[in-house]
Amino acid sequence: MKAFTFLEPGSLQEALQLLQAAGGRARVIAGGSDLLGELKEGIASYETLVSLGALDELKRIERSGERLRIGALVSLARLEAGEGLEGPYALLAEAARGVATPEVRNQGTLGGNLCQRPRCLYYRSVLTPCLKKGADGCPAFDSPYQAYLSVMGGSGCYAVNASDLAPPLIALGASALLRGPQGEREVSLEEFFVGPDPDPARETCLAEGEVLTAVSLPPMPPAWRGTYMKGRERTAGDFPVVSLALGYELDGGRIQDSRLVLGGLAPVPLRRREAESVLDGEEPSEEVAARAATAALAGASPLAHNAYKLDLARALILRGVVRLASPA
Amino acid sequence: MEQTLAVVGSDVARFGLAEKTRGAALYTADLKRPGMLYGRVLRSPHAHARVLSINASRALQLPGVHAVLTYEDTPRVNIDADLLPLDPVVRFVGDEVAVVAAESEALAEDALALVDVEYEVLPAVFDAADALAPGAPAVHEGGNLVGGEPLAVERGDVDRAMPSAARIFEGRFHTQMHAPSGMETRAALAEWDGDRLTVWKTSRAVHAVDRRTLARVLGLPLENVRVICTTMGGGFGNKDESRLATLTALLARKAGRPVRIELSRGEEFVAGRNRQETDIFLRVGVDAAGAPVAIDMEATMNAGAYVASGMGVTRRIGQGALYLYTCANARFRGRTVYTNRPAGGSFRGLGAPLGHFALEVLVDQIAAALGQDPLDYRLAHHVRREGQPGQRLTPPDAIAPDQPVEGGIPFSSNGLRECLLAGAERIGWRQRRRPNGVATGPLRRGLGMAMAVYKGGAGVNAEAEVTLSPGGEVTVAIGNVDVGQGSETVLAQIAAEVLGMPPRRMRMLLADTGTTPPAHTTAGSSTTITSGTAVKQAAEDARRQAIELLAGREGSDAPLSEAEWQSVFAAMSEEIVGRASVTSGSTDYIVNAFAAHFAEVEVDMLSGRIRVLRYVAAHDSGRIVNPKMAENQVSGGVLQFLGIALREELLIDKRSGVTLNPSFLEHKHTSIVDCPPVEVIFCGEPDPVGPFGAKALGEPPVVPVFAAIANAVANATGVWLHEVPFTAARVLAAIREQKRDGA
Repeated sequence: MKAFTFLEPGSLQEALQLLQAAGGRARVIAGGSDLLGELKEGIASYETLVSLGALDELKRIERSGERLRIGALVSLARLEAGEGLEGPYALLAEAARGVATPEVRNQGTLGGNLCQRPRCLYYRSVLTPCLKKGADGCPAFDSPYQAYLSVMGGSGCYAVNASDLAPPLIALGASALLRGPQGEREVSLEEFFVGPDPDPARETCLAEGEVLTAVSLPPMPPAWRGTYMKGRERTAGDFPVVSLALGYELDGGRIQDSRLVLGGLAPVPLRRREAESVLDGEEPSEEVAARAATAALAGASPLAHNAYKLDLARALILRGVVRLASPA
Repeated sequence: MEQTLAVVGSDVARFGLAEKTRGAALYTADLKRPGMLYGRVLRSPHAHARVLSINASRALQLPGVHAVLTYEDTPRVNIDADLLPLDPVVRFVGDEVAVVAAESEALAEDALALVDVEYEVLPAVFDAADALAPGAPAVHEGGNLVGGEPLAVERGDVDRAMPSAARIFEGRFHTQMHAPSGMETRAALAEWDGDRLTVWKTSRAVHAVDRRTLARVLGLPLENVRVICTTMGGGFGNKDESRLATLTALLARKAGRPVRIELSRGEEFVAGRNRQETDIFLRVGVDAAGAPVAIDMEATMNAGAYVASGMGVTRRIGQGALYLYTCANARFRGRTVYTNRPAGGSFRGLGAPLGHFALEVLVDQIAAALGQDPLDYRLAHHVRREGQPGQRLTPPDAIAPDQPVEGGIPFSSNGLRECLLAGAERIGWRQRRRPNGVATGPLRRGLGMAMAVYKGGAGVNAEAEVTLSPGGEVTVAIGNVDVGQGSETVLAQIAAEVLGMPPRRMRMLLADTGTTPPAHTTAGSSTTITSGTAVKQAAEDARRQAIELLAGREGSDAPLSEAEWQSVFAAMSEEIVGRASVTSGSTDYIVNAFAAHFAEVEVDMLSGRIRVLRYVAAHDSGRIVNPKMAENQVSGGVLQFLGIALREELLIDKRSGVTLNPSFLEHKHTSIVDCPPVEVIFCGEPDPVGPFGAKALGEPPVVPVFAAIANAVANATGVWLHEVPFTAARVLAAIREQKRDGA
C-alpha cells in the first residue's frame, strides 16, 4: 500500500473543502472495508483520504416530514438491528443482515455499500489492465470466470454492481442526497447508479468533490412488505452472484404496488417495471411468478459462461413472489 | 490379547492448547531477533520470461534499505531438482525475482517498486494438454513431461484381461487447481553467527529437508545449520520446501543482520504450493456377475512451474484404483506436466482424493447399471484382509510397501467392512430411495457413499530419545514437527503409557535440529506409526534402565508405580537416556488405513445449489490414541474437502497466467454456516504392527469426500458430476443435459 495522508474533518463543510482542494487526488473514506482493500492491492491510490468518520450529522436515522432519512455513515450493523426500520422498511434490515460478515457490518456503512466498486475479478487484479482501470479492452469478456459479470450487456465493461442495499432501496423508491461544492442535490437512487457508457471508470453519478450524505425514503403503504434474496457461492462472507429485492401489498388477495429489482445481473441495479406490471392485479401464484420472471429477464444477453445466472435469478423470483404471500 | 491401557485411548487435552487460544504461542512470524530486518520478495509479473538485467541502485538509495538479493548473487545450486534459489528465468506470475531487506516491512515493500528489472517475455503455456503438444514452449529444459515418460505401474495384465470383461465402463473426470490455505502464511527468520546459521521457519521437515537443503545450497557443514519450527499454524502437506528459508538466509548474510520474511496472504495463494488441475480417464471391466476383472486408470496432472514433490502426488492418484477392490489386473499410468502456472506440490492426501473420486463415482455408475445397491456392490467386492491376488514381488525380508501394486501380501488389519456396515447403519442407508432420492418440489434429497484405502508409514526411519533426569524430569525428544495434527500430545501419551506416568509430565522437544534426533518429514499420515514406534521403544529402553536401579523388582516390561519412580529418581546419579531408531512397517503385512463415508445432500434443481445435510465418516485407523483429537482430525478433514468439493478453485487467466482470486474472499473456503454436522465412527481392531495398535489417520479423512458428495447428488438428481468443484453452474448444466437427453 502506498503512503497517504489521512484527514478527519469535524464538519461536512470542511470535508468538502478538503476534497475540493485536493482535486482528484483525494478520496472519501467511511468504513474503509472496500477502499482499503483496493489500496492494499494497488488497484487505486490516493494522496489523501478524507474521513467522514467524525461527522455525526451523517450517522442519523430520522424522520423528515413523511420521509425517512438515513445518513450515509449509518453502519450496516445498525441497519441490521432494524433501528427505525419498521413495516415496509424492515426490508433494509433483512438486506443488511446478509452482507459479508459481522466484522464487516460493524465497520461498513450504508454510503460505502452503495459506493463500493465492482467485484469483477479482472478489475480487482492489479496485474490485469482493463477498461475500468483506464486501459483498452475487457479481459473478462471471453474468460471462463464470469460469475460477477453482467448478463444484460455492458457497453464494453461487464462488471456488475455488487451492493446488497441498492436493490431494496430502489424497491422502496429511495433517492440519494448528494452534497458538493455547488450545494445539495437529490437524485433517484436508480439514476444515482450509472453504466459504463460513457465512462467505464465510474459506477455512480457523483461528481468530483461530491459526497453521498444520505438516502431519503418516501412513505410506503403500511401493508407493503418486501423481501431480499440472493444467490451466492457460500452463505456468509460472500458477494451476491444474483440478488432480488421484491415487495408488494396484498389487497383482497391481489398484488398491488409491486416492486421488483434485480442485483448482480447488470452494471446497475435493475428495476423491472415490465415484471411489476405482470404482478400487479394478480393473485400470487407460481404461474404468475413464472410470467413475472420471464418479463424480468426478457432481453438478457448473457456472456459465454454466465447464462446460469439467469436460472438463479428466475429461481429467486419464483420463490420470492410466493414467499411474500405467506405470512412470516 | 487385549491390553489394558491407562493413557493411550483417552482424551488427553491437546498440548499447547491454552497458549494458542490465548495468543501466547509463538509462530515463526512472531519471532524477533536483535537488529532484525524485514524482507519482501519481488515477484514476476510475467508467466514466462528471462531476466535480462536487474538494477537495484534506486532501491538501495532509499534510507533504511540494507540489501537486495538477485540471481547474480545467489549460488547456482538447486534447492529441488528443478529449482534454483533465484533463477534468471521466471516461470509463473509470482515467481521469485529478487529479495529486499529493510528496516521495516513497509519500507521493504516500497523498495520493491524501485528495483528495475528488464524482462524478455517468453511464450507461456497453462494447460497440460497444450504443454504436451508439439512445439509447446518448454517450461524447463528437457521438455514438459516430467521425467520424460509417464509413470506406469501394473498388477496382472490389464490389456489381456480387459477384452475378456462382460461389460466395460469408462469415465472422464476432472479436478481443479486450488490452494491449501493454512491459517499461517509461510515465514522464515535467519540469523548468522560467523559461519553458523540458525533458521526459524514454518516447516514440516526441519531435519529431513530444511537443514540438509540449507547446508548443501549454502555450502555449510550440516552441524553449522540449526533449523527450528516453534509452532506451526497449519501444514496440510505444505511448507516442506526450503526456497523461502534459503533466500532469507542469503539475504541475512548479505545484509549482515538477521532477516525475517513473512508472506502476505496473497503471496501465499500464488507462491505457496497448490493442488493442481488433474484429468483422469478410468476404465473398469467387470465379469458377468459384476466383479471387477480389470481396472485401468490414466491421469494427467498439471504440475505448474516446479515439481517439489516429484512424482509422488501423481503416483498416489492411482492408489484406490490399484487396491480398493479385489481385482487381479490393475494398472495406473500418470503424467506430470510442467506449465507456467504457479507451482504445485504436496497437499493433504496427495493424488488419492482425485483418483478415489473417479473410481468411487464410476463404481456407483457400475452398480446403477447392474441394478445393484452401491453398498451391496462394495460389500461384495472391496479388498479383503488377505489383500490382492497375485505374486509378492517384494523380497520376504524387506518391508512390505504401504502403497503397493503387487498382490500376494495381506494387510495387517482391514476394517473396511466394519466401516461400511457401521456408516450405513448410522446414516440410515437402507431407507435410501432410488433413483431420485426424496423430492419436495424442486428440492431433492439423496444419500451417497464412497470408500478409501490409504497408506501410512512403511519403511520410514524414525528416532526418539526419552531422558530421565535425576531431578525427576522426563523429556521426550523427536525431530518431527507437530503441524497442528496433535502429534506432540499423541507421542506424549505413548511415552506416558510405557512409563506409567501422567502425560503432562512429559516435557516434549520437537522440531529443533539442535535438540532432537534426526527425523523424517511430517508427511504421509505417518507420524503416529513411525515416531510413535520410536517413542514407544525409547521409553521402553528408558524404563528397562530405570528398573535396573530397582533391586529385586520382577518383570521389566510393566509400567512403574509412582513409588517406584520415586525410588528410581532417588537412586539415579546421572541421566538415563532411552534411545530407539526404528524402521516402520512390517515385512509380513501391508499396513493401510480404511474409511467409508456417507453423505446426505439436498439439491435445489432450480438454482443448482448443493447443501450437505449430514455426513458420516467411519474410519479404521486401528487403535485410536486420542479419541477427541482423532474425531477433530476426521471432521476437520471432511469439512476441508467439502469446501473443495463444492467451491474452492484458484482461477488462472489463460492469457496472462495471473491468479485472479488470491484471497479468502474469492477462493471460496467454506464458511462456518455452511458446515454440516460430521459424525465420526471408529471401527476395526488394534493393528498388530503400529504402536499400541495405531494406524494412519492424518489424510484418510479427506480421501473419499468428493465421491461421497457426487454420489449423493446423483442419488438426489439422477445426474453424475465428473468435475470438481460441483458449482451451481455445473449442476444446472448437468440437469439441463439430462432433460435434453430425456426429451
